[in-house]
Amino acid sequence: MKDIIAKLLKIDRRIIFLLTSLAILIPIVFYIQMPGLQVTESTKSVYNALDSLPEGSTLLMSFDFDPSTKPELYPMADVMCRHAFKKNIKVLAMAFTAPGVAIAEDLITKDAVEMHKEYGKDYVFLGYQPNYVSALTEFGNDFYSVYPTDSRGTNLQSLPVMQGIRTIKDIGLVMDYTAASYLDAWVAYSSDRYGFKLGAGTTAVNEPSCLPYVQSHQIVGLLGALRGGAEYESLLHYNGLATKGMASVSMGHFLILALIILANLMVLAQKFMKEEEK
Amino acid sequence: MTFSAIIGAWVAAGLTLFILSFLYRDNPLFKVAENLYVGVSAGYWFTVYAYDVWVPKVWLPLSAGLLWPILPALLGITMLFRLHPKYAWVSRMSFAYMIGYGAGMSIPVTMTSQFMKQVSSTIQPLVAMSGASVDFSGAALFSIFSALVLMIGLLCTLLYFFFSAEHTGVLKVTSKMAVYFLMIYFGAAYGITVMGRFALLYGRFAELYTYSSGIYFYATPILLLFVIGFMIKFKGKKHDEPPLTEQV
Repeated sequence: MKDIIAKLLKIDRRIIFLLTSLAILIPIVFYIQMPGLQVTESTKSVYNALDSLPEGSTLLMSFDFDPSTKPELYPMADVMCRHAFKKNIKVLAMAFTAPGVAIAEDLITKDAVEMHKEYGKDYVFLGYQPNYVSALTEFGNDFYSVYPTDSRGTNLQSLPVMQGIRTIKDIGLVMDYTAASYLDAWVAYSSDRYGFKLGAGTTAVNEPSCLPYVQSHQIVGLLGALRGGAEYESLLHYNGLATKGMASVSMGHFLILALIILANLMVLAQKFMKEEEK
Repeated sequence: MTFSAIIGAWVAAGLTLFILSFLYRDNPLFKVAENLYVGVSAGYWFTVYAYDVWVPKVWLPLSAGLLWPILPALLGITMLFRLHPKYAWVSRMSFAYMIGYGAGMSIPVTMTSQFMKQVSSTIQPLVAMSGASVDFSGAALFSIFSALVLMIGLLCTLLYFFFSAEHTGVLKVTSKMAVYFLMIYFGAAYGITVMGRFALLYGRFAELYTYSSGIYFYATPILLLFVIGFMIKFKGKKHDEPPLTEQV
């Protein structure tokens, strides 16, 4: 027994990598889904903010992330885009990170084709904006001084999707999907100053630093990583990427918990046996 | 399925597997993927800055006869003088402008949005206690309790990092409480980071699973077999490197 415990405590870490891989992979291969996902108030607030917008309103989605955090942020952006299209809400997509443009185009084009939406009338790509501080400050004065054209070079004001929009205050809801500190800038330079509705979706690592904005009502709500996306999907009764991923994430968590408990028990047992020997 | 999508799937699956092969041990496939990543990133950002910043913000306005981009462009160019020790002083003007502009823009808004508003929202539930009509509903009481916990935690943690006085007496008690608050925070932060990392791993595995289908010509299983075969051959050739368990 003593030898087995000693061997297990010195287990090759590659075996743990293999177990982790299996924990993630099995739910993907066998389409396992986790039941009983509880929706947090913060997610409900974001859902209600979009759901309460009247038909013909506008949702501005800022894709401030790159492919490295796509698995966490893409699903929540996807479900919100679908929600907006379902409610006939116009979608504007922009990015303060260059790779975010490609992600936005891929996501919205896919959803638009599925939901029969037309470019220029129901949605538009504004493109990449390098100097986010200037852009956020100027949004409140004149939206078109920041984006005179869309990403394809068409005069933005000539597009039907932009009708009734002069400044950012004319937009029903702004959503910032970010893995970095762009939310701080959105709050400080734009929403606090001009008073429009701002929501956010962020990665798990970033979530604790963004939550205080919810408490202070500086943002309407926060979607936290894959779980936030899964919660939103459950509110919309849509079985999307986040819901599918939650089973894998949960299995991974169970494995880590089991390993932590097992390792602690073995250390205790080892200690107990050593004391008994004395 | 388009030809470019199939090629993209093979490249994505291959590079993912090459990177993951490092978990077994360092190897040339990992090095290829790592160097490719660094090179592609540098090239990508160069083109982004050239075509999304330099062309629309400098070149196109200048070509149209507008002169206003000259000053900011000159300030940008002078930053490159930093590379030459003799003329490095020229870059100071640009840096002085950037620091002045940055501080002037960020200090007032940061004080308002990240300090004043946060302090205000923290004490708001406590202010409700002193009102003429005190709300005794469950939600209000919970909100007051949360605010009290938050305030005690905040004060204790601030005092924990106060090193101008010895941590004895009251400071010892608050410091001990602060340790518990900090441990709860670190535990929660660790848990949420694990969740984030699993989500990222899920993203890669979900894509690998997608690319294992026939429409992508079985990219994942074929490349996985190639990586395994290479690792077996590589391991047979090189034994001088210790396994990962002994590298800690």
